[in-house]
Amino acid sequence: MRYTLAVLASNGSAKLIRLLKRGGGTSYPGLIAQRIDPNILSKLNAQLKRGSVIVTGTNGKTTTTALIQSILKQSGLKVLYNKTGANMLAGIIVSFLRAADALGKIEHDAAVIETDEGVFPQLCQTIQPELVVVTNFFRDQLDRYGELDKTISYIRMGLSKLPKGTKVLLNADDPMVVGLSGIEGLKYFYFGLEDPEIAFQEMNQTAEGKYCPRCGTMLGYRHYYYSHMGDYRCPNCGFSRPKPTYFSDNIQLMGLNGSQFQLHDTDSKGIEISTGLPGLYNVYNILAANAAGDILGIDQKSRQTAIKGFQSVFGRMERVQVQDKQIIMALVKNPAGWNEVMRTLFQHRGKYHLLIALNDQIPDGTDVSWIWDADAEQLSAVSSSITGFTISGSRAYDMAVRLKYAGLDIKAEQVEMDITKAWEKALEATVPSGILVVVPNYTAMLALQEVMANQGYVKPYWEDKK
Amino acid sequence: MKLKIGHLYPNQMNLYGDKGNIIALQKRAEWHGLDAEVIPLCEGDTFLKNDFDVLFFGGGQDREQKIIAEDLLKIKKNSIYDAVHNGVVVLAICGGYQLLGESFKISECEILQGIGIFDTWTVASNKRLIGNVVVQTDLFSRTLVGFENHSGQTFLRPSAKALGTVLTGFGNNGDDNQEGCMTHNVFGTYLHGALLPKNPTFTDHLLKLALMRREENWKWQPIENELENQAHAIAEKIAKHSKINPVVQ
Repeated sequence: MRYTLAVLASNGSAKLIRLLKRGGGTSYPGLIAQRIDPNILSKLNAQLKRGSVIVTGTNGKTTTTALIQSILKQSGLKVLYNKTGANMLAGIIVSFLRAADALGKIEHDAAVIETDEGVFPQLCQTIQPELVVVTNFFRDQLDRYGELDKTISYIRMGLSKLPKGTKVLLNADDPMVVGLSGIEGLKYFYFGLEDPEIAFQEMNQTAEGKYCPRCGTMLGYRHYYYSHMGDYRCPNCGFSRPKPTYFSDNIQLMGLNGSQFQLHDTDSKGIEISTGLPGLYNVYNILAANAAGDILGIDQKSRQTAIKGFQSVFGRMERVQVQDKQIIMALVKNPAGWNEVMRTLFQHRGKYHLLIALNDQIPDGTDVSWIWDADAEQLSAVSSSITGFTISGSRAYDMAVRLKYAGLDIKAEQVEMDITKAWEKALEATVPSGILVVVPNYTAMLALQEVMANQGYVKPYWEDKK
Repeated sequence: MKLKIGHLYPNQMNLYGDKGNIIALQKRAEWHGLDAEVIPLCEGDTFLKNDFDVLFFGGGQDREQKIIAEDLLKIKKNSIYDAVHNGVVVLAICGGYQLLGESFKISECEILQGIGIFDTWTVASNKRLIGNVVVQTDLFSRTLVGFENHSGQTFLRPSAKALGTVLTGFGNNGDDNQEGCMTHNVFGTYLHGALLPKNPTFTDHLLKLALMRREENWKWQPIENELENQAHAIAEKIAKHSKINPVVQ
């Protein structure tokens, strides 16, 4: 009874929120449902025939979640997932409720849930997942959890609550992620890159993970892929990168046009992948999703088909045609994300206008100091490709100062704090048939999506393409 | 004329965009018509009292602080004291600020000894002080703006002088309304953001102190500060409107 009431109240409030045009109603109804029935999530999850997959870590959660969902769906399963990146507990509950009928009954086979690190311990206690995927750890939103070590301790806390034998898929190239494998009783799987050709000999940015998670000694690296991702070994205790079962090699990055690489798994023959998803970070996302699919028993053909047909999600290097101009939107919320998006842009030969939008709302992190850890100096090296800048958001001037101190010629006229006006200004400044690259952080991206939806260029983010 | 900036423990103490302070010192020195060079000072390195004009010491997590604490005490303490008494400018943020004090009690059973440049002591708390900060100093009329994020609470002995008074935010400990500490030409604070880029008045104050010590002839070129001033004004405004409560961990 309590359960049914919770479902009804939540569905009603979601409709009301959209009716009042207060956004997608992707979180608040979940709070209502949970208030009425505190056990709602475990009751919803218990109805899934094949259980759930939890995806956590700093970067790549949303894309990896969507990819795993596509793979499961391709194999014929009915899957629910939190598509809009609403990854706090309330948002997760809403994703389940949307899949349920009016009385809270779910016909789905499986769920793939992107989870914020802070919510992870609570979620692990509420539902027992089939598989947990940990993508990577970078400094991000430190105003919420204080320090990165604290964030990692939340994941550790969650994992140690899981029943013995639960499967955990870890990024072999991130020593801090692999440090989690010290928790006993779980079944670990690894994914990583095996392609020294595209690696660097030096760490190219402010990064963490320089120290052994077991004994604290400085790690030695054979090479780096980006930030602290690479092939490492502790000279003191012997902690080292585990050899991954799931790996990629022969990687060719083609800037904004995507990449090609060989994907290897438990099948002896590798798969040739050609994807429109740009950047090395998307190679990692695909690698993780393919591994998750294999671990869950999905056949290679379904995995391959799903990966090939996959389109960018919601603001993650998403492409939109506006009049005769091509818009590429790339969410950036921390230094590692910034550096990798920029690296992808630099491989692109051709000119573009750049709109950068920096907000400091709670979902973004109210501390914007990460922009000083981001390698903005790279931008001045390719400024000849950039036809102009527009800088927006509540902390637009912080970003403008960052770019000025990176050696770019930034003037106050290029700053427009209002996101709608900045969008129009940037679109206007983009040459006919040209490219506009939009780099927002989280709430700035939501605001831009709304502006574009109002102008009829994209669907509102809460409308599922079914 | 060349300004030499020593960056203490850049591999460990570089939290929350602290690198921005080094960038601001170097860029503004250059824009004012000086040459500037940044030299990393890592574990094992020592230096002489005239080797540097400015020393910068950033923040780190407890883990990184533990790694460098011994080197600071055994290898660098004398070099830093000589430089400080010679009028060298020092800026220490967060973790660096804590270790320039007498001690940092991380837990009931663990105390990191500092080098006691500041007459302060720090105690870790389960409340984390996080948020935008505005501080009024008596060094100049403009406020200092930044972002704090620390579980250590720092207390000043009667002999110590605070960097300023907190207008918004927590400051040293959330209780006495004081923020940071200063002595000689040494400044310690919890503010990052990064601190110097959007507080150009403070950056120039530090650069001027460094140049005064050198007593050489130099021509100070003025800099256009419109973007920095706007960033400062907006940070002040946002801080005033933000709700702050300590985060209990």
